[in-house]
Amino acid sequence: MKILIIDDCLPVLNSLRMLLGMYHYEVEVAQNGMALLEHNQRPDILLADYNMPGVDTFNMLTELKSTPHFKNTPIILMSGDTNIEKISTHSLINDFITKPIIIDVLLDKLRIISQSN
Amino acid sequence: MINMRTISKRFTFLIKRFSRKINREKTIISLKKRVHLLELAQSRSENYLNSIIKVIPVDLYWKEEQEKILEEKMQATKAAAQASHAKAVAEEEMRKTIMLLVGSIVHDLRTPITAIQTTVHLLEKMLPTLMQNVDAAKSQEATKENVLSAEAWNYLLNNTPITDIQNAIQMMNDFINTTLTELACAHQAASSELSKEQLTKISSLRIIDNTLRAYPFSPGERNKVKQRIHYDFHFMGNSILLMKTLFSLIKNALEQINLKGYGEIIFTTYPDGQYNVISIKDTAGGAAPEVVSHFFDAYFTTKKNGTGIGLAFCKKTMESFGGDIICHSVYGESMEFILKFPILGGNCL
Repeated sequence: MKILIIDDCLPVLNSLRMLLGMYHYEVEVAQNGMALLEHNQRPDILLADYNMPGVDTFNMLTELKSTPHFKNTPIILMSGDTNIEKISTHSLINDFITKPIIIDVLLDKLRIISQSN
Repeated sequence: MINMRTISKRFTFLIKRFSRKINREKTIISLKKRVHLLELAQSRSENYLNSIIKVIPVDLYWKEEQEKILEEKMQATKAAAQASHAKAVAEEEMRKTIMLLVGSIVHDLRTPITAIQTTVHLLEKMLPTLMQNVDAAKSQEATKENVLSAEAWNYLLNNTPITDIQNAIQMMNDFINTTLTELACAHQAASSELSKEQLTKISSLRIIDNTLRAYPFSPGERNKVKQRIHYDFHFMGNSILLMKTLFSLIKNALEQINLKGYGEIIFTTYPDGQYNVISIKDTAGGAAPEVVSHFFDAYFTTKKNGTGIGLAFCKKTMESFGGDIICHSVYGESMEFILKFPILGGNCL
């Protein structure tokens, strides 16, 4: 199961990459989601931070979803925003998780999405 | 000789005459009475009329007065309502701003907390295996199943978890310090003009250097900032407020560069008429003129989570130094913020 994580915070990327790796997930990371448009990443799940400086997340996700690589990729949005419940109703989103992330909750969500796929 | 008949006639005549006189007198009296009554009535009528005439202007005056008082009361009520509405709007804007600020604080702290939490969880998961590895190494019973992967060993040996936690804590401290400075500076700039005692002589070159050293750049951001400075000048200002102003302008420019995926920031200084100038220009596409014209309005923002405080604060800060800040934008090319400082004299590099 390949997970692609997009977050501008390097410590978050480092720790999530290592941690999910220990749970036998194959993990790729990116600090800039728009750069992924030019790559041939084919993740099974996209785990994206909602609030990255200078990035319109939904615009980025819309563009990613318009490419063949990401067309059917389920998206989990993660955010520390206070209004994440409102954000999470967006049609592009399959699920959401609040920061600080509780790892067991994240693992449950990944398992449910991977099983439904 | 007067006989009785003559006397009688005479007497009758006198009586008649007297009687006529009496009647005439009575008539006169009667007429006079009537005239008097008429005059009295007329007088009363006139008095009455006069009283009415006198009352009417009083009534009109009273009415005008009452209308005037009523109008004044209405205007006062209207003004009070407008003031109350303005106060309510200001309070609502303040509430929204505070909520945005709180939201921003919550978000910006939750991200590094996530990094710390995840790293700690990772170490918790690694440590038992690590201890098993140590025990296995001691007894030379290490097998493939109970050995940490090479990647995990690299992660531990390179001190990555420690560095990540330190970075995350640094991020939180920087954010808290920046927020507290911003709030303190905004309060100071908004509450009163700076007194002369609060202004000190500052070097433009030094303040730019200090700002770029203190700014919490993300990886790869620092080399996007160029200094093309061939002219140093001194001005009277407050270094904390100016550093905060420059922080705000750098932050905006970097966000624009990250959004567009291209561009750089260029610092320059130069004399311009009666001012010395620090210019901060980014080449990340500029902004539309209708947006630029509102840049310095309080609470105006084009950002999803913006507060509209930053540039309004910059304007207040520069005005408190006796200077100004303006923005030149070439839509599609660049945006330049020009900070103008009153000339002190004796400036050179």
